[in-house]
Amino acid sequence: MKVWHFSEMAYHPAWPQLGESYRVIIPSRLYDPKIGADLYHRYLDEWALCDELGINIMTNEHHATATCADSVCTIPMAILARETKKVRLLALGMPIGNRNDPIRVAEEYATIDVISRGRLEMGFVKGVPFEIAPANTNPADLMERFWEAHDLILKAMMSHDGPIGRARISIIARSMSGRGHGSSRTHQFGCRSAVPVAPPRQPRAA
Amino acid sequence: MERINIAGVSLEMLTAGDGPPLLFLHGGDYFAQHRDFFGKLARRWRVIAPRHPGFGGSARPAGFRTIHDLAYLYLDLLDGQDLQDVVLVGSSFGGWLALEMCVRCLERIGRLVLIDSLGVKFGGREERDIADVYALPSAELLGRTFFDPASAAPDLAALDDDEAKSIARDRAATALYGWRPYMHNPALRQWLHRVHAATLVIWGESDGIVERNYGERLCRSLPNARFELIGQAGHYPQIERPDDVADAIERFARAEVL
Repeated sequence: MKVWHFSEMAYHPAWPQLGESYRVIIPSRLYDPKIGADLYHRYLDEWALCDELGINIMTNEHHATATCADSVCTIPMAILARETKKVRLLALGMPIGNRNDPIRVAEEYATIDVISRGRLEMGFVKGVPFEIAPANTNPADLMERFWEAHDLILKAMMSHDGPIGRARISIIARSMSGRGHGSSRTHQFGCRSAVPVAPPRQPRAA
Repeated sequence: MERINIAGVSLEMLTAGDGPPLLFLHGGDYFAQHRDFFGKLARRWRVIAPRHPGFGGSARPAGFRTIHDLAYLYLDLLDGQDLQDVVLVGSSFGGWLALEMCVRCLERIGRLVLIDSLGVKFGGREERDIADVYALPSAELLGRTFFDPASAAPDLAALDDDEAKSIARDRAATALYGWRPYMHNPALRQWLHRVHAATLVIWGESDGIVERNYGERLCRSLPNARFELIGQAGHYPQIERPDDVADAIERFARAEVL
């Protein structure tokens, strides 16, 4: 059995002042960078402990939310690639439909994989609806962009003389519909490719 | 060179001859190498060859950022000069521009000539239709651009400051209008059926920027076009074979049916 430690690196000191929603409209005045720094260091220290205990590490990212202050999943991964020595590092993951340049994602993942000496697990996410506004991406063709980015990243990694990194691929998808357990194409992809597909439950509006 | 003012935009413009109007839209570079070609065309036509906004000595208004701005500007030029039955000739980037004009309005355009035109995407998502002129080593780029680079390409070291500056402005402007999507408009292909003017598609046999099969495909995509290959010429056949290209345009202009 593999065990993974996952933290969204929350900025919880803001929670009591945010009322019913922790997302989308987060006033900057609620963020104290000194407390923010202490929290980041705390989360990174916990992950350093994970490495000593043999617990694998997973990071993710969200935007404009106090529940997750990890702005890009590859930033803590870049630190962990150097600070940890043993455990697997799962980035789950990069919202590639919201990133303007998928090739940059391939570069970031490949860099982390090489620094960590092949310990990266790559994950791609569709993202949740409230990610659309901060990324200012068009939701209407988000899935087209997701799959185009996915294909480009894989091609970038597999082209040239051989695979750049040794990472395996994970796919996680969330439905935009709010009923979400992954789209049919996501499931078809998982069936065809033997790549893990992880469609988590989407929180419904109350 | 003369200047013309179109809708408040001041352009450098070369004119020659006094026959019926022929509007020439230049490509991304080598404008100065067109003198022979313009001389041949001037035997029959009044050649109007503006320098696009941002190119050469033409100003670029801040709002001009896309090929669409250029297309509307030149449609305004045709209206402003009250030109009728114009022969519209576009080379390379200028061919793309001519197509963008024609899908919008053919009212003043009699015939269309495309010379090694860019602007349309035919290949698949991961296929390259148009060579990346910004990524190629300069020697290879020259080899792809000209059949005989040694005699066609100018000696850049021999240029004076104004000429060198003009070429630098050409390159910067071409990049501005054509960088992304690279030298094409993804939506243009679906509107090519609107270009029902008689069209001559001219192609340099040795063009290594957009190859012959692209030109043939472009020709097949236009409702009323025929194809003509120019031997011993690359991407700018009008520079390397000015007589052949001017003759081809004259024959095409005289022909009753294609």
